Amino acid sequence: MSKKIPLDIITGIFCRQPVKSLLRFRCVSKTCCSLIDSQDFIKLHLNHSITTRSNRRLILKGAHDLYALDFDTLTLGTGVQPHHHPLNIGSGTEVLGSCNGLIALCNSVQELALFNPSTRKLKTLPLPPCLVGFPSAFTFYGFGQDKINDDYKLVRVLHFKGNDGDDVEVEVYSLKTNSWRRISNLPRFLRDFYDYLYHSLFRKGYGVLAGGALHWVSPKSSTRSVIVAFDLVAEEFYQLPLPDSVNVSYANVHVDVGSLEGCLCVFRFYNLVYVDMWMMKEHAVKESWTKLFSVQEPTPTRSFLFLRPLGYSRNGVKLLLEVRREKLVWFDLETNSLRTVKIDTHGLDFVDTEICMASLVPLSDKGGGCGGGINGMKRRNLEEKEKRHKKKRDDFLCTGFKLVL
Amino acid sequence: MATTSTVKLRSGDNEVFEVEKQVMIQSGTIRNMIEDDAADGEIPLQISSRNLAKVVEWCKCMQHRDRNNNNDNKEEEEEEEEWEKKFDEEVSEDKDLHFGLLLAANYLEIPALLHRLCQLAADIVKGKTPEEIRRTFNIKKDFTPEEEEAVMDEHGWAFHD
Repeated sequence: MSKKIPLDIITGIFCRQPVKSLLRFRCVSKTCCSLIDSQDFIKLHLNHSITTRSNRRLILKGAHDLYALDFDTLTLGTGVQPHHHPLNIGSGTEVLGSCNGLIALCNSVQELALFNPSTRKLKTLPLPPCLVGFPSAFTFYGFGQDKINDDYKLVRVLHFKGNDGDDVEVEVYSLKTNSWRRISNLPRFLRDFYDYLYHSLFRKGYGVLAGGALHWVSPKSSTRSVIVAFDLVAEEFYQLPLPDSVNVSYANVHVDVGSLEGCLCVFRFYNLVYVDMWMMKEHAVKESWTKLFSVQEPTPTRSFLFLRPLGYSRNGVKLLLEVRREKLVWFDLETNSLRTVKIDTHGLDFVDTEICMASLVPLSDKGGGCGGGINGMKRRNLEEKEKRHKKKRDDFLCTGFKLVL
Repeated sequence: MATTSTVKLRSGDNEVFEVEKQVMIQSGTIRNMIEDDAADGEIPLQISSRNLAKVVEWCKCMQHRDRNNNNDNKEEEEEEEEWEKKFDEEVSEDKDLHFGLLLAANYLEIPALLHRLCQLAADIVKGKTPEEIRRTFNIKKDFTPEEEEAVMDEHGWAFHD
């Protein structure tokens, strides 16, 4: 084959590759390297993965470490692999959220980081400003993308007892500016926002990312539960209505939010045994709430209070759910039936699951797509070398020119 | 004068293929020519007759499938699946045909065929080393050994299993 393959076709082939292959293919040539590092390609690759439901992983949190599992081979009984992440201190690293292949990790307030498990690049966050002076504060986090500014943001909500009763402070970290910003003029409804369940064993109160905003359910002490949303672009809180039929406040009804392929979902749990799920097909449009399914727990162990949607099977027929932070269950949308997934976990008791795309999304805009600090440094070295080469060549040409003269 | 319902495609090695317009409108390039009334004569293409025959065969199969989409004919469905499987196998085993078709689908703007061929190529190159990729795509290595090492070092782990 002697013909040259146009870059368009190479792009078409490369955007269907796993990240690990692409990291190798950066060594093919300078053109391939700059193609793979370019923002356009990174987006194309990510969008292709999203639309074809490929390159998906589950990050499982065990007692001592994080584990990774390929989403598509779940059912084949593939064992989980320990996921060596640089923040590992041997216990309790929390995954605060996941977006476009980046996950937000937390060991403590002092140790927060963003991590791309596929490129293994880490970005340690600077200390948030509200570190001291809030001894009894409850903290909720949320992580997501600001699509307009092409930025990733970590939101920290502190709920504490102030002088006039319950009070809140909100801080937002921006990856682009690598700094925290305190949000002022917070709406009053935020003060009622704390739910004891957020600090129970099962539900950590991390914001649910959908439609460019993070979401929490405000507690049902009032007659009408609402969804509290934080717009990641405007950095403002607002309220979203629940589906009409969810607006009931019986003692045995509990409401929670989840996210499925970028759409906001609401669960209504009844007696811990029945669950109904709605999806907001068009974000912030109340009329777009669509009921997806109603199901009863097959063996009523009253575990249907803590349920999170993770993702559809590739053909869209089944939906993977995390139940009670201890098992994964396939829900078959055609037969309305549930089946527990058998994963060879080598005795690992996982307690939390996060779906994460494998992507090339960088944690630094210096030095190209995959660049971290080291990458940038290397690139500068390369540029230096190139300059030296060029100078040598120019010197040589000069000499040559002189010789001719 | 009534316009004809077929279009004539001339391959690079001067073979003429007469195909229904309805079949060839899957190609953006040819659809534009038909719409601009520029497809009445023969359309010369820099595509070999072997590759062009394959493209035409693929377009016919897809058009047939789309037309019968609402029919519940199990037998035909299986036949089509069998044909697609054979097409995939044939292309995957013959690099010249595969790349020839990639270039043809790109030039003729047939997105569905291009996507399928890209996916087949993607499956083939997935586990390859940079050197194998260079050979496969006929790409020149323009890194100096030092530069190559520096780029490699950034993700050294990706080169091991």
